[in-house]
Amino acid sequence: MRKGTWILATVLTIALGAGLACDGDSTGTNGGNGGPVPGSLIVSLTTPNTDDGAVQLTVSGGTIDGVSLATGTGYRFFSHESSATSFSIIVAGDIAAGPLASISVPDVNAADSYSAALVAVADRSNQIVSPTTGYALTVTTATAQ
Amino acid sequence: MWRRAICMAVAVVLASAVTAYAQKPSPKAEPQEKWRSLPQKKRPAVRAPIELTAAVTVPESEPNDDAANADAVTLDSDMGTGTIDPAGDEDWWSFTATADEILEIDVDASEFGSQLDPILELYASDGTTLLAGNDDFDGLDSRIIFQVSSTDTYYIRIIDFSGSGSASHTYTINFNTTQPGPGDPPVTIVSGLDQPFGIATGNLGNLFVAETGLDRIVNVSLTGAVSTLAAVPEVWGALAFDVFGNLLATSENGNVYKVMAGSATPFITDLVIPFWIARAPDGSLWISDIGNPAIHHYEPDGSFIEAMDLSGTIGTVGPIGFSPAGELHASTGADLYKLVDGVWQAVITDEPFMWGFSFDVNGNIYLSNPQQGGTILYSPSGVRLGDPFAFLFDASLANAFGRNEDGTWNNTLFGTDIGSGNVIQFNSDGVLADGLPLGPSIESVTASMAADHLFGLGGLTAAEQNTLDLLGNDNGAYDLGDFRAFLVATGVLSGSLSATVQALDPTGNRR
Repeated sequence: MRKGTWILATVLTIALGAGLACDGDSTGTNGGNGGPVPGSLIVSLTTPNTDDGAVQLTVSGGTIDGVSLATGTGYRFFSHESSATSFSIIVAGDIAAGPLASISVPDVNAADSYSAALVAVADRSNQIVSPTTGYALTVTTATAQ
Repeated sequence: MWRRAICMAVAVVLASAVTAYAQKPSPKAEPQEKWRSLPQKKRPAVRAPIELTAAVTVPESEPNDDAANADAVTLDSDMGTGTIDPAGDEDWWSFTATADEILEIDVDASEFGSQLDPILELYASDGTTLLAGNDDFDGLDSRIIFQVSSTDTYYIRIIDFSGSGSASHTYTINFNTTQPGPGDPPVTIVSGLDQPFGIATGNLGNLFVAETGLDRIVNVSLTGAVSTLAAVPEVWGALAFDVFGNLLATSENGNVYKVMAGSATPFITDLVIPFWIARAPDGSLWISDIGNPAIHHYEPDGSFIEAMDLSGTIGTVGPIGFSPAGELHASTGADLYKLVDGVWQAVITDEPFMWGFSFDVNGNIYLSNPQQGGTILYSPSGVRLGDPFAFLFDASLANAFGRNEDGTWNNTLFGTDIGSGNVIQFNSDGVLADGLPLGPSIESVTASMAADHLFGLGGLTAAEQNTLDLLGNDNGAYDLGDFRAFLVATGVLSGSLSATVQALDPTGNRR
């Protein structure tokens, strides 16, 4: 290979590599070329209180492959698949603001199409919290929280 | 009182049981104070004096110190009179009884001011085989009720408890037959247990019995097969189920034990001498403490709620239970009270010594009272309906209604006989109604079931939802807070239910 040709090939390789990297997702999951990227979304709680004892919620939107307890929380987790696009969830324990549940979805790039709705909150004295002013649930990609 | 009453009742019951009675130490060797210190008993208000039926007075004729020299009398006709004099004297009487007749032999002495503290014994035709015995049925006076199995001659022996005698040790004795009570005759379900006492019915119709002599609880199947459920240290009076289906047992060592998976672990440990357990309509637990004049109240998970001090009201109580109206009933041994709007009201008075009792669905009370002749049946307001209900089995200290294999309650009634070691079933023909279900139960509810119901899948019965609500925030509907309480109560979550406790409501309804 002539020196000029070698330099050109090197430049092209670097350029292609850079291009691929720029086209990928932020999680590092390789879907490639704008295709669906299976992964997890995280449902997180915002609360004005410090004695939450249980939270009931629903998640819905696009296809949901499964739900599970957010890692590292130590809560108790109960769920029911209402449909292919909706799950009911109860998380119990000494609940604090932050991640509650993890949602397995076929494409994390479609996170915006998923939402979580608060159904009920109970405090650690087993009383229902009402109203739930100040509470909020957010759905984010796993690394965006 | 209950400690002494227990000792006495056991002794009395033992005295009613042939085998055990025969093993009783000689009266002369018995510390007199043990018996004298017991509360004086009074004649039942309803039962008519037996001697009214006697027409002919037969004086004793000494020497009549053994069976061979017994004075002969006729049943349902003669009344004997005699004197235990000098010290160590014994009087014997004989009569002929027909097979299946029920004898009612009653001696009166102390009642009339005599110095005699009579002990009464019934012997078979050989004059040596002891069939029955009694001490202190009616005050210090004694009575025997016994159904003979064959037509034969029978003998009665009268002695003084302390072996003393004088011209002032006079007595009268009535020789009568009587008819069986509506709960008679009993059928022996199990025999050979070592001092069975507490009894509870399982949800499959099986019985759990506290075998106090062996410090264990046994499971008695519908076919009468006996197996060990668990060893429980110093188990005695009460067995009861909590709302989760766990068997609880009181122990003389001060603990209430919870039996799970074949082993017993201390469940409630802040009592002096826990005696009886009653599950309230809200699933909470009430436990009488005979070490203190108090009843303690606990959440279903054993969390302490508060204690009801009885020192200024009715004093120390033993057996307790809830009526169909949800009213707590408590026995002081001589009186039965119910708690209405925070005030104790007398239901049955002046009938020592009351032991365990059960309610049927109509609120009728089946009360064990060996010294009153067996098991007595009362209306919800305390009126005697059976006089007694059953007395051919007169040694019961505790009873419990039976259940069918599907868990529904029926009209079978069982009793334990601490003296003979038997568990018996009363004649169901005499039982007025099915047994009162013992409070709510969520023993078949799992965490997943409870969660699914909140997810809209149903699955919980209305009763289960109500019980879960009472267990939790008691706001009238099963909700997330109740679910959390359930998780705490079942150990899925750490924590306590006591934070949900509201003001003490003895009716068991916190609303």
